[in-house]
Amino acid sequence: MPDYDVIVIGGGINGLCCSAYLGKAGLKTLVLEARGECGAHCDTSEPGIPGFLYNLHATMLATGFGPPMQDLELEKYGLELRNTSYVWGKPFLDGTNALIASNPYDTMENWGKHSKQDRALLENALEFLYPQMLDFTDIVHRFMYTAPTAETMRDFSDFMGRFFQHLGKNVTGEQFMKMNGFEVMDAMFESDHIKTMVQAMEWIIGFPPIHPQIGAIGSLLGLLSGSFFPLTTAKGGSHAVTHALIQANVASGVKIMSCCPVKTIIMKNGEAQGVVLHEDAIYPNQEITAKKIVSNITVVPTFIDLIGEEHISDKDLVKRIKNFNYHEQTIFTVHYALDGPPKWRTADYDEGIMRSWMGYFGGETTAEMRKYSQAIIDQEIYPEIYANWYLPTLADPTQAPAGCHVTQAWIDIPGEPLKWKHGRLGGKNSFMDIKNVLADQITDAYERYAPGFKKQILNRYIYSPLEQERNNPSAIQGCWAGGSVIPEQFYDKRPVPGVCVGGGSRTFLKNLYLSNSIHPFGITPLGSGYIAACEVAEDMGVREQEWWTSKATHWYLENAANIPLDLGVRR
Amino acid sequence: MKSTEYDVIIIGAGPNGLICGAYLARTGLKVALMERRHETGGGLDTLELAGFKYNPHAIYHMMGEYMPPYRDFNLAERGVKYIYPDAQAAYIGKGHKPVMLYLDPKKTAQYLSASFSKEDGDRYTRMYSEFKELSESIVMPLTYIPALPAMEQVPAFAIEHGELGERFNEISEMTPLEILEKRYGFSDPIKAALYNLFAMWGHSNYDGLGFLFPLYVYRMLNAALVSGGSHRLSSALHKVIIEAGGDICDLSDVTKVLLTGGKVSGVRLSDGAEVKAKTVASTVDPKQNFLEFFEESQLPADLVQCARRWEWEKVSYFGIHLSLRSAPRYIGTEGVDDANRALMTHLGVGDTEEILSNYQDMEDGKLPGCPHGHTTIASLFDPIQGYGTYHTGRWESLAPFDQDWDLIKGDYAKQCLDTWKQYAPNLDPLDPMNTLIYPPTYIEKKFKNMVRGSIKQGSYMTLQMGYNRPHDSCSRHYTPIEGFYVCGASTYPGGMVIGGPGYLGAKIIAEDLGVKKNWK
Repeated sequence: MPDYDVIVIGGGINGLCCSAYLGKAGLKTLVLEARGECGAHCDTSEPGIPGFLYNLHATMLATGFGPPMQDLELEKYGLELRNTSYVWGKPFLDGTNALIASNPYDTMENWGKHSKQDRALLENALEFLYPQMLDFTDIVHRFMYTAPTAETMRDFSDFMGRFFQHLGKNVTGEQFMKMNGFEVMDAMFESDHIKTMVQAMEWIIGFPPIHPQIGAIGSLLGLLSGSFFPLTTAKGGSHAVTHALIQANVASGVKIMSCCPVKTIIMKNGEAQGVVLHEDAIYPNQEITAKKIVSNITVVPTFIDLIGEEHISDKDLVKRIKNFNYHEQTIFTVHYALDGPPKWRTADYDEGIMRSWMGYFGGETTAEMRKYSQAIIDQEIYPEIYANWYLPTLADPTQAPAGCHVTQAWIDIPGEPLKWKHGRLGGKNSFMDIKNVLADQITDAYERYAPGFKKQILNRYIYSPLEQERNNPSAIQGCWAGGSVIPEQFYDKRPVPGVCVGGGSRTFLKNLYLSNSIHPFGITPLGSGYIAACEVAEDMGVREQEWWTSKATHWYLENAANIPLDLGVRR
Repeated sequence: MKSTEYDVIIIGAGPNGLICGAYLARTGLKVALMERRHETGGGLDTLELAGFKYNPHAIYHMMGEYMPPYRDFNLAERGVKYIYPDAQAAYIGKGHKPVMLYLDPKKTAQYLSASFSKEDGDRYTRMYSEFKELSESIVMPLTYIPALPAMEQVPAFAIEHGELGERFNEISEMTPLEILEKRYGFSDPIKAALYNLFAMWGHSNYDGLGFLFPLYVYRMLNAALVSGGSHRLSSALHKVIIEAGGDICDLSDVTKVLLTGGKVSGVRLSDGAEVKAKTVASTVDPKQNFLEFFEESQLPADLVQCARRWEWEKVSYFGIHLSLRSAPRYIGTEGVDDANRALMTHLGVGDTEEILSNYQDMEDGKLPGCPHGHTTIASLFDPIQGYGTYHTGRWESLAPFDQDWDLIKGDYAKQCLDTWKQYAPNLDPLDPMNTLIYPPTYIEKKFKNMVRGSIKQGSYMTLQMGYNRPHDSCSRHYTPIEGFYVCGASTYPGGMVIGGPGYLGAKIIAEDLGVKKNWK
């Protein structure tokens, strides 16, 4: 008899999501985490001044979007989501700003200042979406929380065809699915400010606008994020997601062992049968067996390090796995402790920016955003600073002492940079040499958009892709998405063709599943963990559970009104 | 909030809150822990940054596996593994060989005989065996038995332990240095090395703590690290509580304990929410417990007086946490390679006189003339706390609280690192920009109950020890208020992750509530 029904390797949030479902469904489940604490990418820490909480990895949470919120009762286990009335703000050097508000009518008001036509188009788009919300939710659920199928993509495409028809735009669903984010924005909007604002948003939710199809889907989701899809912080920071998942697991009888890196997945007769722990683990070299193994670490370490090439007969597949691309989805972040909120230069234009807890500065035009996107692909650090910023303390004051704030600014950056301002770099180790200079430039850029910023800084903490990789070695080159989101690694082709067969998480090796590197990808909606949970539960005959019924956005549609807004804003 | 009514609410989810909560949740009582911070564990805090694990608060555990909860909750099975390095302490000086103190007393005695004098080896053997006997027979068991008034305790010793009790009383009346010099005849540098095991905890030679000296020396020579970092211990206790159906509420800052008809009826949180409970056990400090949670009129005057006069520790700590390219190699350790693999490496100070004068400076609020600290490279013993071949480094030294730390912390850290480098010329930080500097003010910023960086929630001085900790009306964990209990480090037997207050608090509460204790 194996020791467990299921072993999940890696207690990141998708691993914990998967194990919590399986534990709750009655399976004897073990989670093995290499770090001391689970939830590597939902990590809230105090490396600066105590009381100032830095969300070192995920800051924006899409967790409220997915079925686990309801099925796993994450609220009961302490997860309280927090938001602001404006979700996304992009200040421009010309003194204007473009915003997305929680209430779409506030968004329209801001957009109307830029372009009457764009405002009307947004209103028109919402008129189309509102009555079809359940259909749309169903498509989104299938897209994010079920294994990729041609049928889902066709339905998505048909829906988008009808959408553009309603808007009076000459774009078919098929055309949409081949466009990139820049093209979609050009087809829809007049104001370049609104276009770049949405492009920045889609990028931070994981869909680089430059890629065909990915950019198109991302632009639609980006447009609707904030008002239809929750992008929140949580009381106490991102680590609250980890805490709630841990509690849900423990309460369901799941055993979580930390400081237990895995050395090998035991393969016998072509089947995964268990694991051997690493010699540095708390229980060195221990062998543990299970009926099913779920790997929540990314594809290369899973197959190359833990399984070993010798167990993969298709040598071409080995080559494809080794070539898996991680380096286009990494970020370089500077965290700051502030003695007050940043004062955006454009607050006079629309004061909603002062109530926005996330946004973007730099990348003033679509043309600049395109060049920036291309630089990442070319493994070049872009010479200008275009940065995503967060101010979680506006939504959740508990993340800093009273009256104080934490903020961060990140730039998208290649994980293996080869070039920076005409100088050559030597890949990821270059971050050690350049990180201070780069951080200074990010600080200067922040100051340009929020004058007085530098004087507000009490502490600064730099986090490059190198630190990210050391923190979580399966996030190779600091990739936060489990592998770059590029056309060759998107949707049904993810992670690489031939790894997942017969579903979204079942691999070509019997009894081995993936809950990382598969479709969808990071940003915390827990999609990969959910898909793995569904497939393992089906294969173990425990999928039918009375409580296991929720779908994407169900919880959010019912509870959106209860998520507190603007807790940190002094009026 | 998870529920609005509990049997027991525990204020604070540090080691004692977690231990108390775990025992009580296991009896079937409906228990909730209210923690002000976003994370549980209190001083059992491990920061994981870029692959390195830093323990800015507790790191050496004195009672480890001896603590009753370790056995009662089967923490070994829950991944709490203690590591006991062979070389427990090295005292690196200039002009003499390092003083090595090993886990194995025979090995220490042999080393001291060979490197210093035969007499020193014999003195060590005599001291160690006496300290071991006193600790194991008297002080360690007492840690997990409710406090007795001094007048009852002393005769009880004499009767129960006979000659050993008398010896214990004899030692209790001496200062630590008198014990080392007069009782055993040690001189520097061995005297300084042994005294450091006690002085490093912020105790002066004159606080009347002679009775604790054998325990500190004996246990600090049997000190252990938790594999993976100190937070593993709190994480395991956390799971025990969740499994037993208890609730742990992060970011729940209790501001008032509510009374109805003179009896506890619940707590109020900083957001105004009220949660009902007939029993509330607090693990925080006496000032919060008696001056903030209640109105003065609700308490006996002498208890209010005691809380007002509560004294914090006179000195606090300055810490530096950093990643290193290689493990430090110390000067003068040729032929004594163990000195480069000690759990604690004491350095920066010449002799006992200098330790005393540094301490005096700090008591006066001044920075010591030369930074004198101890270092730990946890990854030498527990590779999982480092990254690859890189190591996790920790510097800790005593420091006065009253300094403009925000202004001077960078310069002072540089001074400390320069001192360290004088003793370990190969010291090479991997990432100087992200070095964590931890001045005394940060201790208070992080933990509201460690005022003035007082890691034990209050000074260890005769008036605040034993049956007087925090006051003779509540050192046995119940208080003059019906339903209110205290079981934090400011309560008998004290702090330092020994778990005594939480364990004893649970015992007294279970007895008062008439629930069956399902532990020994």
